[in-house]
Amino acid sequence: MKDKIMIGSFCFILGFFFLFSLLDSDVFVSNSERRKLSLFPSFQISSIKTGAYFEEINQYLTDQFPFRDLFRRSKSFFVKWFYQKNISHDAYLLEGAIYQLEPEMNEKSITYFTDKLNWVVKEYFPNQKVFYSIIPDKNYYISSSYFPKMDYDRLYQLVSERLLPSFQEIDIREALTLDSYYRTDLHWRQEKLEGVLTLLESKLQLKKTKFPDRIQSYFPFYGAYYSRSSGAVDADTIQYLLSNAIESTTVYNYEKGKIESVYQEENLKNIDSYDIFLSGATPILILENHSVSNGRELILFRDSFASSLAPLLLESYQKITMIDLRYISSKRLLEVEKIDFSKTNQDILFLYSIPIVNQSFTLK
Amino acid sequence: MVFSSISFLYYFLPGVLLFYFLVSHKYRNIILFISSLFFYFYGEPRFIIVLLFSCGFSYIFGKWIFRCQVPWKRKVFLLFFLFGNFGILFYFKYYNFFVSNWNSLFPNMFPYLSITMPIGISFFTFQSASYVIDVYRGKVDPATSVFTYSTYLSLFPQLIAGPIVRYQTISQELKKRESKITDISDGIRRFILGLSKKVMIADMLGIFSKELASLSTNTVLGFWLRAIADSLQLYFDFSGYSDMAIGLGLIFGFHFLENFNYPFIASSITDFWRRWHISLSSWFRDYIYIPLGGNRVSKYRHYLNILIVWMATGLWHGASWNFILWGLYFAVLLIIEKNFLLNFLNRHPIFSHGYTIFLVFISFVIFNQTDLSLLVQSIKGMFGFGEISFCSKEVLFYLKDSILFLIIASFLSTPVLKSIRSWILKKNGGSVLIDILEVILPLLLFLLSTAFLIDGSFQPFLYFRF
Repeated sequence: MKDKIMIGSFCFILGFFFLFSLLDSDVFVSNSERRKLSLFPSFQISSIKTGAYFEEINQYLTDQFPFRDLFRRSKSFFVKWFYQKNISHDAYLLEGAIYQLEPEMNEKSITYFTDKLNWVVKEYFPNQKVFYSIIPDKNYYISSSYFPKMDYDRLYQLVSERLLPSFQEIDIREALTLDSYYRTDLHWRQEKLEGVLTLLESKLQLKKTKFPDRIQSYFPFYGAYYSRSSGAVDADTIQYLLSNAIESTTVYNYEKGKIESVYQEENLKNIDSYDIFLSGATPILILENHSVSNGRELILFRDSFASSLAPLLLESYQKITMIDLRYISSKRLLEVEKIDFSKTNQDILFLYSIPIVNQSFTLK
Repeated sequence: MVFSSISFLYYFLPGVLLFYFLVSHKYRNIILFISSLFFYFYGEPRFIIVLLFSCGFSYIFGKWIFRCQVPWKRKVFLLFFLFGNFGILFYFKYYNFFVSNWNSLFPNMFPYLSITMPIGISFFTFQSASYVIDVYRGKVDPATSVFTYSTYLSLFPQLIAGPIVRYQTISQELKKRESKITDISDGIRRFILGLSKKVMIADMLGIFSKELASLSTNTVLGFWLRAIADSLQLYFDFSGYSDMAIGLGLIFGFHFLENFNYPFIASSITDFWRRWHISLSSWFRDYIYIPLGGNRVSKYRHYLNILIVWMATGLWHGASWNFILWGLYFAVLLIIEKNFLLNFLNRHPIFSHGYTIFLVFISFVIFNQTDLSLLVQSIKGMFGFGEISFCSKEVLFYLKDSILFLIIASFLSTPVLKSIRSWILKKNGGSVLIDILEVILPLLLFLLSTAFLIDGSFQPFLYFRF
């Protein structure tokens, strides 16, 4: 009897999933994994000879397997419950959040980063006071003593030592907490940046503004780390703040050559919902706030963290030029028509997160 | 195709099972042969020719040797076959290794060739060699048809990663076999056990080892943990594959011999090799060691025989000096044990287990490191030579995360579960409990293994490279 049940159950499992996968239609994108799933490969004799065709079929069958997310969650649950393991796909799961394991500080990258910033300042802002701020990654705030962390103090010290004297630091570490970051993503949460905004306003000698209190929410936000947890943690909710200044601002996207709004709500359903903030990765954005006429402008050299912060600075600036040196060479900046570094009413701020500082070779 | 893939588990296997059990007995070998060719073609389309050539080549020589009555001609046929058979293996597996060493002595004498090694070539060339030698020795009658023989040699359960199944083991079952319900059920359980060992333990150990290897600072503890993780991974990976092969064999009515017997509880290196990759060590014993004279020769000739056999065993695992070193390492240990240590070990069981496991862990460090300078660095690091600290915060972090997993893996590498099963069976109602568990647990493990595969923990079997 036992043997018959065993054989019957095994055949049932094989048959069920075989038939289900035949009848089920293919899924194109996995939001939880933030990637396109493989589709059935096109038939080519050459790819059969090399074996590549069958590898693609393997990938297709695995990607399109029925109840894929449920299986991934089951695996994750088992590993966490039975093996008591918290490391998953090079990420660490702790108290419902996911952290990238990156304990090594890359001194060569820090040198490259500071050299790049120094060059930009010497070239474009030789006689100006400029500000910089390094955004800590969320690992900085983990209190667990055994979690291997980068030597953050050393990193801040190296950056400070290697930048030109004209750079003035705005240390925002005290203005953030672990709660300021998404659980499933590396970025900070816009609605938690009041402390950072206050500090920046103070250091840049701006008038204190009211923190926006109109909030829009979107769920689920599967952050960049989410897929590594295999569903072991819940998705985030993305919140974006509204104010008159934000709503009356137009954004010129240099890459697309068109005017956009600050928030691209249609991007919420993209693979990366964080692209709602100023349309995600792009070389140059020029934000013009039509409700302010104080004449103050900000040149902001930045990475993706600034996309959610810049809208909050709109109350104080008539114009913000955002430059992402990962997507445009620092030597070509003056070729951009709308960029003018010669004005005297401009604040200069370099705002970079530690992941970029530590992997800065992408800066051009 | 690999067993631990969705394409095998949910598409190939159901298809083969369906056709196999639908057709009458006389057509079942045809189903197995066709499906085995497809299985190989799916993974190595180009080299299906090599497999088919090997089938035909060894079949023909088996026939000729069997028919020939003249001893010297039989010997010539055998030598010609061995030359051809191992020539194929040499060309695909060892040619560039030979050239690199030869050219380092006599520069540019031979050109390097762009050669890809066909999967499983070490297994099917050794199986065909055992077949022809056994025919030559009169131990087994030759296969009745090239088709039957090709079914044996290409049989997909054992085709690409063993165990090395000898023709005489399954020659009768190739002609006539029954598919008993108990065999099929046991086969399914065994297959699932092997699959779980591979995807739920071996691959996870591999990830742990890679995590440690990625750390920028080497430590004594880190080197030892990697040695332990790599040893366990190799065991669960290879014994898992053997379990799957044996399980599939049972489903189709074949009874393959065991290939592993809890090697990590061995009480000496001699004992370890009675428990690890049994089909390979018995192949070398029967076809090389004994023909060389075994231990029925002078003392020094006996040592030489051991050195030759173990150098060949090492070389079988890969065309690299570390494998030769690995084989010689065991040869030296076995000679020492045979001379005087074995008696001492037999009298001190606790020490003997510690001694064996310690030397086995070191052996797998040699096994896993093809770069000899890194190998020296690893061995030195394990014993704290050079400027190396004992441990670091990073190593302790990874150890803390995996400590329970390592304990579970170590526990499962011993026969403790088997003992618990026997203990439960002796209790009142124990057999009912075991019956229930032996249905529920395998099915759960099968679904969990599927979950592991889907989550992308797929890694190729380590023994494929042999």
